[in-house]
Amino acid sequence: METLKMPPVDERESPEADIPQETAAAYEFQQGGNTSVDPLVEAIQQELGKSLQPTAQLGMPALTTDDLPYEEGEIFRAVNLTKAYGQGAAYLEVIKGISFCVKEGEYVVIYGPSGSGKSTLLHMLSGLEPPTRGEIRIRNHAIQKFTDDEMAIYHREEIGLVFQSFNLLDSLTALDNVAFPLMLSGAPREWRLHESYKMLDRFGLAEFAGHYPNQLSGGQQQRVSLARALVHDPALLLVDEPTGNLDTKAADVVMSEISRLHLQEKRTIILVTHNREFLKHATRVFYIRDGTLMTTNPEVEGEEHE
Amino acid sequence: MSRVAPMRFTDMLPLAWGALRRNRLRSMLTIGAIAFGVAVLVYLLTLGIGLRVLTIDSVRNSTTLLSFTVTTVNNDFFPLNDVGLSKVREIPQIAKALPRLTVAGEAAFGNKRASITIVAVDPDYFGLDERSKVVTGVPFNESDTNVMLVTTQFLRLFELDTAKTPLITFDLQADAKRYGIVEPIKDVIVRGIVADTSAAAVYVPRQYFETLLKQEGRPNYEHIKVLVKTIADIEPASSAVISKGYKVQTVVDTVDDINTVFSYIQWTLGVLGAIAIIVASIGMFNTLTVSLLERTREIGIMKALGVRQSDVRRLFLTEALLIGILGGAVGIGLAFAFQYLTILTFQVLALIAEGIVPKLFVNDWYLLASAMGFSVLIASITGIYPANRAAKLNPIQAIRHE
Repeated sequence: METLKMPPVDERESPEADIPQETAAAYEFQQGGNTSVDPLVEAIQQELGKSLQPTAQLGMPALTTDDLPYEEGEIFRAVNLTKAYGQGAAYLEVIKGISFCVKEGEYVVIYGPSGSGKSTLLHMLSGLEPPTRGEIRIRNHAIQKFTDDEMAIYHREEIGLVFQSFNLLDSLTALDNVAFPLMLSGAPREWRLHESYKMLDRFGLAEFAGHYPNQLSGGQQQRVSLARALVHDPALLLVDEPTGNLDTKAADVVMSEISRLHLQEKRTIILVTHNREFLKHATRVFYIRDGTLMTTNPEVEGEEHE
Repeated sequence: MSRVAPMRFTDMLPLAWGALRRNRLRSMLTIGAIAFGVAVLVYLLTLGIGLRVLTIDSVRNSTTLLSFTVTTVNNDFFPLNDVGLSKVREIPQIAKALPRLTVAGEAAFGNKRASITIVAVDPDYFGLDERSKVVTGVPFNESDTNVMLVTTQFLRLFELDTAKTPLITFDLQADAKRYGIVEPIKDVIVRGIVADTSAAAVYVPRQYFETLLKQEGRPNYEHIKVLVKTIADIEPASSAVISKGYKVQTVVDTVDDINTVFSYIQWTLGVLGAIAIIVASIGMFNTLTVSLLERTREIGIMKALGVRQSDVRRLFLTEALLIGILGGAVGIGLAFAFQYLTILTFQVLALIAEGIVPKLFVNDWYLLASAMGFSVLIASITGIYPANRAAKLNPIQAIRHE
């Protein structure tokens, strides 16, 4: 079909709470007959100063990978992505045929109520869960077609993963946990321990290098987890509810660190959260509800954001 | 994307070791079970070999390896008489042929008379097998006439001290009904006692005794003991004897018989030991599978970080391998401990019974190496299923697993 084209700036800068009539109608249709506008959507729009719309309304209708040429700077492209669990009467679609595109340097926050399918979406992006239908492409390579080796390379070199429950390896020290991705890439032990120590030091954890995960606080574990996700210098960081198990203070430290990774190190970040506080960090918000996606258009190069 | 190099073994080893160390009690019990199986296997097999060596050694010591025994299957066609003896003596490899002539007879001392066996042999015959060993006294010379060696049963028959050579003389008389009238030998001096415990018998000089026997009623030899110069002569000499129509019984044959019997015993012991290891490996299978369930989350994390299926499989197999190696090593050590305890027990018993403790166990290096190899093999086979299951785990389900 059409190439993925950017709508004119004036269209994207539509004022808050002033959703065009046709968009609202389409939105209601997508919500499966729910006529009332989601109050959360209004709140988000208010917070962002932008209007959220289903992707179909953002100039990328009915994306198909065959027809759309790969664009420079495009990291992810999802086309008609569907994830379903169970069979027969237990059949449940968690993600219902969504399409979107993520560009280099974006900080995308996937936001939505719990059980909305946002973590499932992130897992599909990270290649840990295959989609039921549709396609995800990373730099124009279909993730679901990766071989075991290609998937290993994807995890080792392309992305850094941070989980809600930290997911550190209990049998390894903090230092060895951070060094683990470097070990997989075959780095000599001396060098990888040196690099990992530097990374721990950056997160203020140098003195805890020899500690095991169960000897660290939640905040410390999450920072070790961040260090591990970054030690192999991935361009792309996928973060799942990083503050879910942290107190407010520890959460702030982790979130500001992630922001810094985006602003200073220009890493592309996709972060899942159910905390509205963190929307302010994002360059774009993916609002997921009942398996459908509402978002804004990607920002134009050089556009300011807070 | 390029091919991915497998995880290095040097990186894998500390991970596997760490996993074993994390659940110390369980790992120790698993290794202990394997070790116990290996220990039982090694103990039984070394005992089997030890007993075999012990038996063969006693056979070898009882007779010289350079001798064999010639008998006949048919006394009419191939009689063991003077002709037979000279036929055997013709064989070039044979250094000495020593016949044994056995006749029934009587011995008299004072007015005591008793039926006995008279065995006529050459002086060299003594010591060729266990029963012809001279226990006390000295053997006679070839030219001696009125001398003899006796068995303990003979002394018992005449109610004499069985530990000492009696200082009395006997009259000997071969059975007149069977061998015709044979001159009695008067005033025969007892020169010593032989080890033979099978009968009340006297050993007399063959040359002198044969001159007394009448040619017609003369019995054939019971057997001929043959001596060769070197062990290599045994084979041609015995073949030559067989080709002349006689039967031979060599020590090598006896050793072969013993080996056959012991190989059955050893197989039985080996199977018992193998059963012990298999029982232990079922326990190990259980442990590895439980360990897999416990580490499901960890495997999920590793996969999310880019560990490939084949690496997960190898990680689990490395763990199984470690259990196998440790189990084998500890097991061999444990077997040595069992051996030591057994020997100690026998030593205590020997101290009480004033005996000596023979070497009960033979620890061949190849046997120990095979036990080790067997342990590693069983462990690896046991590890295959859990390793494959771990490799195929869905990472997300694994990470969600608590």
